[in-house]
Amino acid sequence: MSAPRIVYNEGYLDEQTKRVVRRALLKGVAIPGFQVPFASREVPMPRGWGTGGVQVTASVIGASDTLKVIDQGADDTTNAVSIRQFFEKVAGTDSTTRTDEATVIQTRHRIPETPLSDGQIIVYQVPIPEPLRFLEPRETETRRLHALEEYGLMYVKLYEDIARFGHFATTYDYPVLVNGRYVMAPSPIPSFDNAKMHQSPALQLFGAGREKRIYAIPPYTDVESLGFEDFPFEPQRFATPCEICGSEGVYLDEVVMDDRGTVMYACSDTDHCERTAAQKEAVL
Amino acid sequence: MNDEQPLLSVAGAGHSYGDAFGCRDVSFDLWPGEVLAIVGESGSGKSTLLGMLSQRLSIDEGTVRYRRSSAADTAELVDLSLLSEREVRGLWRTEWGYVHQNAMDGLRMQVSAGGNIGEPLMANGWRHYGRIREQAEQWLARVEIPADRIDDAPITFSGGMRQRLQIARNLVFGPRLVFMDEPTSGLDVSVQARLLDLIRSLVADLGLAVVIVTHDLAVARLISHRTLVMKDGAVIESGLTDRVLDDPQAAYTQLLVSSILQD
Repeated sequence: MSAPRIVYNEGYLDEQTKRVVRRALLKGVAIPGFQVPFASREVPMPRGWGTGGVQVTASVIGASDTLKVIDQGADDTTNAVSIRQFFEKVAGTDSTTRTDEATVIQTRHRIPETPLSDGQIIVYQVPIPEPLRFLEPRETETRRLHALEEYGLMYVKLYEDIARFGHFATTYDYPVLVNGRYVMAPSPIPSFDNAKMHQSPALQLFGAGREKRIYAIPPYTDVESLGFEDFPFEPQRFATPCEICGSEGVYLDEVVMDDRGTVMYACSDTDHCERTAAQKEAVL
Repeated sequence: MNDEQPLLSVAGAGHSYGDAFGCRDVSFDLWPGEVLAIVGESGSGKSTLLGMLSQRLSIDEGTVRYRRSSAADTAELVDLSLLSEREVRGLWRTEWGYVHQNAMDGLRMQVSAGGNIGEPLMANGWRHYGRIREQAEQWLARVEIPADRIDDAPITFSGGMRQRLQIARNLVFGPRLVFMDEPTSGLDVSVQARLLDLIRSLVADLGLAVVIVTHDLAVARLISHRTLVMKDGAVIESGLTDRVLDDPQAAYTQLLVSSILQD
């Protein structure tokens, strides 16, 4: 005889918890870039694996939604697959790997190459929400700095980069100024993706489960990457196109091919790569 | 600048820790360009007084008034306890320096010397790397740190160099008033002498007003114009430094002066 099946509430979290998260989200949307504390819950995965993102997704998703989950741009990694299956099971959502078909996209480390559109929600998994953390360990102090708009410290980090390396060596989690007010950590996306956040038509939500913070960027909001007047922000560039689909101007992964150090550069966004390659084939 | 008014005016001020006062009933005026030493044994309330003047500790009785350069009427003295936190931090950023006894409290030990000097500038809205770097180089030279150490972190510096770096960081943004808490203790004697020399010349060049806390009467003698002697949280004697040290009136000051090792 099989054991009775546990019946979960829609979206796994109970309604009260979803309400808590939604309140935090609303506040986050109302104050773009401001970190809203929330009562982070246990979800069936370890902290650091995207529990913040899962809680945010669980609070905004419904049976009519289509979910895409990416991890470093890939739809087929363990974490991405299991989070997708999790929501299929507990929320009854459809899932997809296509960026343009998704209504909710949960992501770790990337923003898809296909431009996001009106009505889409992108949920970022955030490990460390505080951009000032490594220079100022005290939470009470960083909050005060945000409140008083004292962001000199953030520039110290950029100064150190230039003094040491001659250019901005921070290539991921590159700090941004949201709506001209709050300095925000965009989660560890490559600085290559920073430009995609600016005036994005999609709603961008950020969840940090371990650190218990939620923040947001509403659609069509200014997001400016910090820089100096004589050293403006420069996103990473790639000299070669993707070796699978031939796309240029996309973010590439270095893939080690053999034991002799041969490497290949290919799109990190697997959905984009597959579709571009398929289109090429169709033309031929 | 309006020199008819003091820069800082303290009247009956005190700070309490719970029921007990750390310092109490302190009154004095500080004028632009003046160096005031606060001396006394440890536990006499010197550091509490300094903390209160610089608004790191609350003013629990009396008033401390300050003449801001940013105020519309520059002759007006504003009661510090009425300022908002934003305004107080604005003063820290633009008008007041604070040199800690331990350089580790006043510096970011893992950030390069150039970054440490540049931070107050960046806090004041400087966003041009080349100009920040230029200022950092100039200030390193002024405090006699070799220019090639600009990208080294102060964790690799000697005690004397750290203290000089801290001074540069506190003067780079052009403050009018600098608080110093035992800036020379913990350094060996020859380094101390060099540092005092440096402080004295910088203060004279820049026309700074300084409140310096020290337990060392020789330091007071060397760099201050006026001296306050504290005991048990109260000021027991004040006057021109030479007068206080050569002709002490209070019994405790006499004891303090006579307890200096004579050579």
